[in-house]
Amino acid sequence: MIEFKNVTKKYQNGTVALDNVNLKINDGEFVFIVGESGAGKSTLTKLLLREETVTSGQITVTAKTNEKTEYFDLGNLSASKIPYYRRKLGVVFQDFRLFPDKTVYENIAFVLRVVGKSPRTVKRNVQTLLKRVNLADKASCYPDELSGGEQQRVALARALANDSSIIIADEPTGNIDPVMSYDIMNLLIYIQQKFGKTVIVVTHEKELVDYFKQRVVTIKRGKIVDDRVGTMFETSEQEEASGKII
Amino acid sequence: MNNFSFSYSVTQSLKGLWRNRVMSLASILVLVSCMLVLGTFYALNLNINYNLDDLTLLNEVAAFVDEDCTGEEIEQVRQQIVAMDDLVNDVEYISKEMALEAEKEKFKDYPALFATLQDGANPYRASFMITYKDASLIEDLEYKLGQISIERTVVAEDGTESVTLVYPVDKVTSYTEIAETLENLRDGVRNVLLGFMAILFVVSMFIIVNTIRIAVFTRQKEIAVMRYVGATNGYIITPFVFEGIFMGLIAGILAFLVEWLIYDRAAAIITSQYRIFSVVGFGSFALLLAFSFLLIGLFAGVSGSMISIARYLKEKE
Repeated sequence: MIEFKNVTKKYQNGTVALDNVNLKINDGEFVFIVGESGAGKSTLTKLLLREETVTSGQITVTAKTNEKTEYFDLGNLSASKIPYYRRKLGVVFQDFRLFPDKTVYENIAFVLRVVGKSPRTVKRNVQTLLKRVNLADKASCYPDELSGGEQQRVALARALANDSSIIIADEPTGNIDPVMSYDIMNLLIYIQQKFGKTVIVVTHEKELVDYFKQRVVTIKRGKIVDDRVGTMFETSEQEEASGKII
Repeated sequence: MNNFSFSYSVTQSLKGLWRNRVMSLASILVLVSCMLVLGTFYALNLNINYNLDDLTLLNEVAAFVDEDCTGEEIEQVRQQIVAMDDLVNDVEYISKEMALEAEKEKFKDYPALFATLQDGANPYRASFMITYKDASLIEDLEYKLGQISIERTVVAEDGTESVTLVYPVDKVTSYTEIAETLENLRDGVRNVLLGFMAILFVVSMFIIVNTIRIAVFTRQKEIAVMRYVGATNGYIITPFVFEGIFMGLIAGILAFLVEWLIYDRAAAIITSQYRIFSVVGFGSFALLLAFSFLLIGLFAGVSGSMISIARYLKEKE
């Protein structure tokens, strides 16, 4: 479970990126975080990844794996504990962030090796993950030999490698074509439903959000202005931009 | 560190060295220069001290005796020197044979020096090594040594015998001035080289820090992903520290080989042209030098890379 309690994040230049945010995401939930540029979505992701710390308030994460349940208070997490916290998260980025000089297999295996898994476990897990994202036949390819959608599936497999209980996808469909975008989103929903992972997708693609009809949290100017299940809440700027008459 | 971590770190560090080969080479060469200065200083200091000891300077003079002296005459000379108890502490006779053997022992690393001597030939002279009591009275001692006389019976061609007074001590060598010069040289060399070495060491550390920094920047995307997937700082740092270690060790080995080459050449020139100086064999301090060079390389490499990557990771925290 992820819980933001009265979270405010103010940067040194005075910008208030998040203003008294309260948010609760339960285990195994699928949540879209939406909002226009500068609304505070990236800050929320950074806080969750513990790249940034809160100015005030509290963020707590309870990560459940097959082995155990661990509790993290991100504000009080020491620097040495951060890597161990991040192992509970699987992260997918808009630009994939794959190692270009490593094969698909090696890209995924790397994560497992970093956390000290045995060669046998690495081999077994990578094969399973590649099957899960339907890329078993591309194991020996390099990222530049794959399409955008395929690269994002490798990134997704990598995010799942550590058996993370929480998957954070930051604009996962930003660099791929619309058909592939649905494909990736379907895969994320499959992962949530089949394996009980908590999936947080940060996006601004209204059509996708509306199509999948999941929980949608809308942020505007650092505040949560809407939290509902179904279609995306349109803020006034977006309505203006899309030419909709109020 | 598990097997993967170790092999990963070694592979990445070697790749890093190759990727930034120009900067890596610059770092290694500056470090080599630093070590060569240190090595040269050490070798010079060692040799100067060795020569100072060898000459048993400041309180010893050598009184060379006439080649024609018999054993009995030499004993008479010795008794006269011993009798100067107000000036002399100790007297030791060194025969021609003993002098030759001592020189052979001293230059045992350079046997070629004695190869040209024909059988039985001995260019060295018999002498008394006299330890004196007071350096300020050295001139008195030298004068008195020159005044030592013995009576020698000479048989003329017609068979008549006559007694003549002989002054058997024909040369007194004092090393006081040479000692002062050598000591001044040693102190001067030490001060200049220590200062120079400190500057070079700082420069080499600076270059290593920058080389590793470039290596870090070329891999910053990879480092960012490593951080997201939960790699510990130790895991991220290790390849860069290995890179620094490799640079330091390569510099250490190179510096040792170059020092060896230079020293051997210099020793050959000094021993053939300035025979007054004794040269310490390279073998007698090679191990210490190799160990010191590797240790310095290791220290510079580890600390340089740690400074660089730790600073980077702190900035990113």
